[in-house]
Amino acid sequence: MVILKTEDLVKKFGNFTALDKVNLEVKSGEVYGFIGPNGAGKTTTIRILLGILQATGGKASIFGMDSWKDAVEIHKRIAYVPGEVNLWSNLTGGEVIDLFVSLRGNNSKSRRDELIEMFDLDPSKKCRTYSKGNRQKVALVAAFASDADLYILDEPTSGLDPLMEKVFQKCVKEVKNEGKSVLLSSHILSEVEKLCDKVSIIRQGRIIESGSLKELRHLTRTDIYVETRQELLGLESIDGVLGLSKKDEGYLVQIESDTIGHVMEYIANFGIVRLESMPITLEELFMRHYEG
Amino acid sequence: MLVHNTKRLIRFILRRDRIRLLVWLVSIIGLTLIFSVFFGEMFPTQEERDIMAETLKNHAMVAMIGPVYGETYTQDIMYAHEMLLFSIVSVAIMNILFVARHTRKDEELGRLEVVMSQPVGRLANLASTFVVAIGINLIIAVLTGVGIFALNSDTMGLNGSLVYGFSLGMSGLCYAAITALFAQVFETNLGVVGFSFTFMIVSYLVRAAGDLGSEALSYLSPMGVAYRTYPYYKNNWLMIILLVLISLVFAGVALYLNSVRDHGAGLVASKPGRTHATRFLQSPLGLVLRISRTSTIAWLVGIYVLGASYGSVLGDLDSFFETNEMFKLMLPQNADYTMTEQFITLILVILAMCGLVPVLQLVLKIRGEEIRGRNEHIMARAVSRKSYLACYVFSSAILAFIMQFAAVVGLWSSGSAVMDSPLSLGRMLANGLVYMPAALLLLGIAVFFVGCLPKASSAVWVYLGYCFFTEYMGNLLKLPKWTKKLTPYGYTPKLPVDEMKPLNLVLITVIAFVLIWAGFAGFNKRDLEG
Repeated sequence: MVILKTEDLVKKFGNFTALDKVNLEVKSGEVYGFIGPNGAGKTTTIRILLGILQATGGKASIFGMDSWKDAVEIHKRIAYVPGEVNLWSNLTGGEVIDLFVSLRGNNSKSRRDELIEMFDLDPSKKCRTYSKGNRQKVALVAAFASDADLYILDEPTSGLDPLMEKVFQKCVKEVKNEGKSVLLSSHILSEVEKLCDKVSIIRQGRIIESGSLKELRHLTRTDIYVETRQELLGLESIDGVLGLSKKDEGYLVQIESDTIGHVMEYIANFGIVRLESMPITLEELFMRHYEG
Repeated sequence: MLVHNTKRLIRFILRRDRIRLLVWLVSIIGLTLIFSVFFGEMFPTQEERDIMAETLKNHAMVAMIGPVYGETYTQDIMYAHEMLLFSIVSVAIMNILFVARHTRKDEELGRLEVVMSQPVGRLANLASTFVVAIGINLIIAVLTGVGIFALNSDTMGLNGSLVYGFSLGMSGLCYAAITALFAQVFETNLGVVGFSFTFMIVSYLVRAAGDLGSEALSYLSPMGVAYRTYPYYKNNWLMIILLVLISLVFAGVALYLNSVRDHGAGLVASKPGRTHATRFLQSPLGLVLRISRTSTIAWLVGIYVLGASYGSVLGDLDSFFETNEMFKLMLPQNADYTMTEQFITLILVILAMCGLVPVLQLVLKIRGEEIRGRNEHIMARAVSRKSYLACYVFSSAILAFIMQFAAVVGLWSSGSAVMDSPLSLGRMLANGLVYMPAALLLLGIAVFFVGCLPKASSAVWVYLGYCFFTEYMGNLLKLPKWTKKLTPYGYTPKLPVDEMKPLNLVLITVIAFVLIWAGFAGFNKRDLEG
């Protein structure tokens, strides 16, 4: 079942095109990674999905309802953590959490105290004394204490320490296990790799890559390290070999993924002693898209 | 060394605050000098001044500006008597904000930490703040003293003018030192500024109590001490030395505390707040009321006091107006009504407009919240735009009513005490509440801007300023009639002098509702920032 969908979403600010035909589709039970550099359009997309901005063209819908027109109905079933959490300086963290939870309508306060403890937050302090990380914790506690069907998280961990990131990942896995969906926009690729079933990469308002991590990797290249009994010769002239360099006793070889069988056959002639396949990390994938 | 690099920090403070301090100094010194000339022109004869002195001899006025002193109420004494305390208040505000900004505020924001990590002494920051504070207060003391004398050398003596200037500057120093002390005690800038202003208000009230009753009480307040220099009469320099001594004691304690406490800490730890929200806060309306609570209460008290202080002069106004051509000009002339009644209409209009300031602030807060990225939290939850804006509009409309009510009650409570034939509260309320449609119209303009032209929202302040100017100064400056007809106040009947014009009030209200409706429509359609 499709939970969240954008079709050819366009957003213009004056002459500037912030989003140019963005297509996303998050299915029920999926954790969907939304990655891209600063200013690529992640937050703009999310704000259209929340009905805070109105799309210039295309369609955005959540639970099959229109993001703009049915905002209030949609919001009853989603939880949102903004990238930049600004709070009221003279309210305490605890007060803000309670306010946020009760504004969604259906309360689920049982988890609140448990989450406050997990995230190690002091709810009696005024928000003005909170660091960026602590303000994010306030928003995260309010979000995960809510009983929502979809969680929209916009760079939720940018101010958290590694320990708290773990807690966050645990929370995401829990809601996933309950069959809820998550749209996670992030910079931290290791996190996306760990949590997400699918990923879309956005750059300058355009989706340039979409799919499961497996598919994305498949589309690109595979890195292997190989040692052979005989000296490995003539590999650079074989089709599909993108790069070759000597390392220790053997070679690092970069191979275009769809030609891997053919390349391996060639290498086998030299007698393979050791073979390690190193799947491309999301980070490398990401860098290749942005540099290219 | 404890004060290593203080000189550099002094330069740094001056560099950071060069515009800010200049604006403060120019406005304070400039206004003081302008008024010194203005007073001479306003009350040119001794007869007028004697009547003025009589008007000011009631309890309310003594509490407000201090007792009349001297054998004859000459021009120089009149100036010092009527101006000194208010000038001290403005100098005190400048000093409180200046010191708090360079001590606890910098510390709280973590800016001071960066400075302290450099090779600077533990006390260098506080010491440099003091040096600059001494400098600006000396500038105020000398320039106002010499300036008043230079501009009015035939009526106001040099010694008296210098005493006036130094009572101003050295009381400023007192409040600077007090603020520095509070900055060591409290952990947050809000606490420091709050307690410093509270101290200032309390010292003003203690002086008032002393001036009305036991003289000794006045010596407990820097303002009371400063007032007892009696410029142009006793010229008591001893009191100025006393002010300097008080400042030195407070400054010494502040420096000592600064040297023994931890960075970022205060003597009074801020106490933990609520860990749960009350039922009241758990709704959009509760949030709106909560975040505007403090300023609303402060404004309510303020407008009541303003109304009461206007009321306190209603007693012997008629004789006063008879002699002063200038004040007469400020009122519309209508022979059927007494000067006092005409004056009341002017006061009610002024109070109505002053009372609108927090009302407009409240409704424009939704725009401020939007810019600060806090509306996003609400809009991303199950709250519609319409209902959220309605929370602001509804509460500010109620506030408009309450403000006007408080102002009228203030005016009535002190007015009825001093007037021979006081108006009934009911009639006074009717006269005051006739401005509600106009208030709604300005509220409507604000809502319209928030919804349709958010970037230009502050234009509503310009319009309020225009309303104020035409109503307050229109008669005095003989502005053409049409200038008043551009505001709702120009169409509102000034009760009790004018006849009631129900149709006008209905029309103003209708326009107000159309503007509010347009604002809602715009807010529903536009992109929200954040």
